[in-house]
Amino acid sequence: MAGSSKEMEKVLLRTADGGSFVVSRCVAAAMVAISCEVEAGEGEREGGILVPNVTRPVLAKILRFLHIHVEMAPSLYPITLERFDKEFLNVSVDFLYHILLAAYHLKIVSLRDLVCQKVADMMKGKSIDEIRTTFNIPNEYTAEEMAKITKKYPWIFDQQLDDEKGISVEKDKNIENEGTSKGKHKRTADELGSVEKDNHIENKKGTNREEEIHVESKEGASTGKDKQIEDKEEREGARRRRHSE
Amino acid sequence: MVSGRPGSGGGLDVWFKNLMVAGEGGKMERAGPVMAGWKDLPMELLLRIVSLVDDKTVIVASGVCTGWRDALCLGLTSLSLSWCKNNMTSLVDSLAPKFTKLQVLTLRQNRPQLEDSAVEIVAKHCHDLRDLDLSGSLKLSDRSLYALSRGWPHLTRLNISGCSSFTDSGLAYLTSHCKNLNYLNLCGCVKAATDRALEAIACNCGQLQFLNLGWCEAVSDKGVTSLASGCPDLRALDLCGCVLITDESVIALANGCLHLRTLGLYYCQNITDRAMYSLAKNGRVRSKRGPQDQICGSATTRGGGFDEKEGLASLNIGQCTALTPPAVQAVCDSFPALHTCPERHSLIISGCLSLTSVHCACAVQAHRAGRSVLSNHAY
Repeated sequence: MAGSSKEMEKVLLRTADGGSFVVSRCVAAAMVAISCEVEAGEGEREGGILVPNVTRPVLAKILRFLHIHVEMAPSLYPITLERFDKEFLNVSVDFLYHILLAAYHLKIVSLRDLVCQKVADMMKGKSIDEIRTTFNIPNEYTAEEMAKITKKYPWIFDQQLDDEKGISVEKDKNIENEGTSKGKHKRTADELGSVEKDNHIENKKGTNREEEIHVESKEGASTGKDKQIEDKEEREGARRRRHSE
Repeated sequence: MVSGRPGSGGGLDVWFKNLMVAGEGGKMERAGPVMAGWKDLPMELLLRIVSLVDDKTVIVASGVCTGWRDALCLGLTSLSLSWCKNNMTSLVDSLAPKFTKLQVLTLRQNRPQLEDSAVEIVAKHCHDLRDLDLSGSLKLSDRSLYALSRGWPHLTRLNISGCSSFTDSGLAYLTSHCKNLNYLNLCGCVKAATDRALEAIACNCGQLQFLNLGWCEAVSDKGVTSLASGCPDLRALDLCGCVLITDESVIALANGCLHLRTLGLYYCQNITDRAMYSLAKNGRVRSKRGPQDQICGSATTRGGGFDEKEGLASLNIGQCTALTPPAVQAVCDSFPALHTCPERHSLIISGCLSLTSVHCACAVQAHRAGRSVLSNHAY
């Protein structure tokens, strides 16, 4: 049997809350946590494979990601994949948590890293309170305890603006910076299929890459001065790269 | 949810007020116990996420909730506080007791802030430290070196460049306790890096591979020769500005440190051709025939054939005005990893106008081929 046709065989995946999905074998195998069962042919049996630690809506979302990245990726420009990734993660912060946990438990490294980067970007430059608000984390400390903690933390927030720029941007691995910019023809989001209900796409105007970067930089992360400077530098960098190609 | 940080507008007071208001009516119990949320993020994921953010955000994250605090205190192994412009000592005082698993700590300063008490606190709490950067800590005294010695026998990397208040007694004491040092940066430590300290290093730190003695003007042949015999594993040695050293130092290094890849002799104006010939001789002694012979036919006649992965790859003889072209050419021939060609320039001869005639093998070949651009040269 040819390798590719085996990969296209369908397998059945179920969730504990009654969801069931029929997907290609290669997509199922991309979830490393169940890949052994997939290889063993469990997915073709009557009951299919029970995917642990995930609910129906979350698995649906993950299978969509894997469908694009595993099955369709060879025929897509990198930039299209990037756009898809950005829009894919335009979800509520609670749902994002479930996606991350599922990617973690199902051992889907690429999705795990993608979400981690997004969360990192959402955290950068925020204060304790802002992070709690962003991630819906309740405040566990009494007013007294907070007073004690904040007494120590002022040292972090030195007042000079230089300090803000001193924040290390070495670890800044914004997705925007990667990928080539083959602008001629690329599959649009429409060609990729319909967008899920829980996505709220901010701005779908145009296919101009610079505009995309500008749009994406608005969500999540802080709008502090240095972030604007970083965005500007990224856009200029992207512009420079395009000119040099 | 995105709002200004303190430092804009009302400053710290406003920030405090907001924080206090949020904390008011704060309950002891955890809200939303049934639904797992971000506060329950597995430690491995949280650590992965914070590895992608700046150090200030990492510290802020440790105050968000008890789950994150515990995860970070247990798992954070690397931290930099170099972004702190003032009050680094206070910051270290409050953080060191929390992050006890730190292995890498960067306290580099542009403006000297750090005090001995901070180093002592770190030494008291962070027992796993392997890599410490204290560069620019002008305020630190030998007291810190003693604290380091007591706290971290397993220290492997130490950067105290610019700490001009340390003395050689403190440094010698440190090396007698931290025998696993692999990397030591003493650039500008004029009082600490003396021959006496080098002898202590040679005696104790046999595994040393990287040593920076830039601008340590007290260093002389005595210290370097003991270094050459005590630290045979040296890969990189920077003696820039060590104006007292003579050919004896280089000869000792050529004989004793056979793995040397980088050597800096900038401004060592006592260096003569004798030093160059000794380097070249020791390079040729270890040579073996390699694929180079096929690529650069001309190189074989010059007695090279050394593997690029061994021998000197970088040599700085800028301002060594006593050197002449034949001697330096001999060095260049002995070490194929040394280059004068623009793409891989690693033989630095700044200020030595007479040495511009020295060329590496690929530069010669390109010239012979009549090409002026070497960008496609496969070597």
